[in-house]
Amino acid sequence: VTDPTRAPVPSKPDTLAELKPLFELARSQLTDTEPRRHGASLEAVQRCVERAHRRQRQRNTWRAGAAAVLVASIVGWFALDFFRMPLDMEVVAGELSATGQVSTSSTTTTIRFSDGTQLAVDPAARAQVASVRANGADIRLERGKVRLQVTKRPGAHWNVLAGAYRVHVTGTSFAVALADDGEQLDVQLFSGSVRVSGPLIEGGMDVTPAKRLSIDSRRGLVRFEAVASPADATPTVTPPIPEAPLPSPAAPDASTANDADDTPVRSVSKKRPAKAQTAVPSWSSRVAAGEFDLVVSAAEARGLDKVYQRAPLVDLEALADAARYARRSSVARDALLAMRSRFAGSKPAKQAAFLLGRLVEDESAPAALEWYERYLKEDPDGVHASQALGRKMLILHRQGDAAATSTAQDYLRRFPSGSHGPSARRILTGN
Amino acid sequence: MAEPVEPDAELRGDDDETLVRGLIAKHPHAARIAWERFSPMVRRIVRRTLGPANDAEDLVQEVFMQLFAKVDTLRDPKAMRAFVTSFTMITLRRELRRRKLRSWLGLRPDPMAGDLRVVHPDPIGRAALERFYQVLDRLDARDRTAFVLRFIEGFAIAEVAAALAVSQATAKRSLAHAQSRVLLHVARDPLLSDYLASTLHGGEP
Repeated sequence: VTDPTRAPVPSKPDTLAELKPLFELARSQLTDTEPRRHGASLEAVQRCVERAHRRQRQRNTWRAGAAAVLVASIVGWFALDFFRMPLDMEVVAGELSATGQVSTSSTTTTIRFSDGTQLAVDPAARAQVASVRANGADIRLERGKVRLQVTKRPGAHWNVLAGAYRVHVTGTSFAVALADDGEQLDVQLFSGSVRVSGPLIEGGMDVTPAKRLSIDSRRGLVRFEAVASPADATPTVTPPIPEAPLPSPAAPDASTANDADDTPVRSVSKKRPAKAQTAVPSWSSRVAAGEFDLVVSAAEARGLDKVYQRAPLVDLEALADAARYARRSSVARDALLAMRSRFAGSKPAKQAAFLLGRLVEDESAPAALEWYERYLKEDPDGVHASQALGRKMLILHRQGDAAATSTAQDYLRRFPSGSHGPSARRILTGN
Repeated sequence: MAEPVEPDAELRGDDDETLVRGLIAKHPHAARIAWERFSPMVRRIVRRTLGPANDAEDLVQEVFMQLFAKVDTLRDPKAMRAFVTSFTMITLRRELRRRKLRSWLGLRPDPMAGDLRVVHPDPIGRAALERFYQVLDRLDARDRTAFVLRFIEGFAIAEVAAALAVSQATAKRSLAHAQSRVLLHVARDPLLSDYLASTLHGGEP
């Protein structure tokens, strides 16, 4: 029992109930009474809100104005583009049909466009001016060689559609040759730069002056070759790619003198200025520049097993591409298998199935067939679908498998203008 | 013939929904009625959260500025009171965090006038109140606001959670944490211990 006469003993509260006096104290002292000196509080608040509203209205006006200008600009741009007249064409030599098809003649057909661009089509070539726009045109090349000298100007947009390949250009002089079967492409630059994309180089490759890009999609070969002068520039598709293996990356002297021949582009990169030494380019950029051997060498220096186990997907892709182009099949295969096991389900991993098929096709058609079927199952509408289905069809046909007929029908239904179309038709007609 | 209704008679009713509509429609009397209806609650919560040594009026104004500017975002006009409480909490927590930051940076507190209405006749009571809020200063913003709403304002757990825009479980955790820290620091403070002992033994000191 507490003795009220005794002096209070300091208490150590254990529960909130013992703090109640403090809560009561706060409640009694801290009330909601408005202090007199703040009688104008509401007016101050209203003034502030009014100012804020005014600012908001101004901001909204500015935003609406800016949005209107933007929309008007976009609409104007498209309207301008819509109403812009396409380029005029003048046939300087040879003949051009109403559909833009270049007629076969004994001399080079030359067409000049109103922006100064000039197209020269070889006598044996089969080409068509497929479409003409205000800022360029699409030239469809079915076989043979064309040479295009594009006048450089802002917004220029020219394409050469060679078989399954697309050569995109904004202002340059170059030549493109395509073999009859549509699977061998040769691109030679005289000035400027072009970007080529298509089978084997889906990501695109830049071709710069004094270089020639040769692709043989049938054999899965991609080569960058240095040429000494435009005199060497005549692209040809017979033979497009030498069979001899590339010099070993360990032999740096291999490229000292003979750039005009089949010297791999690695030798050209050796002569690059000091800039390349200060900034280390990525493997993918090295592949785009044709420096395949350098990428493989870098991977070997790092340790191939380590690269397969730890490298990011983009590096594995670059290594697989570089190894394929440099004809280092085992490295390419292991890099592709690493992509499939470590990044299963990703787009590149699916594409790796097709590329693995390409790698093993010469050695084992059944294994290649299995890879193609796996790719078609995993990525039926993928970028390699046409090639995978076409190659599957050819393997089945070679094996005498009756399924080749249904595959050919399937191919023609899905890819009526695909590069394997003629083969599919031959299979169906029995020729 | 029915007498004409004064323009703000309807607004002055107990219906928050009508008031919200008036605020959104910029009715000339709506702001004053909202101020009269909700500013006592806001002021009380602000004062009881910040303590006696702070001028609450600037924060009360800030709450109402936010409220008037964003009242059109209120989805359910009937929930006006919760809306106001929520703005009050947001403003208070921002203010508490700002003060903590200033304290960490070694800056002096804002030169806010002390609340002159704390005129407790007993200097011990006044000192105890100040020491109690020094204890609350040791809590983080959420624990502190939760503690004040629950134990001083008398909010239910669900109301505390709604005001702080957290789950009830989070509100309970926050309260438990605040409670243990407050008990610890009050026990360590001789002045507060003396004050509690004296109130236990003899009622008001």
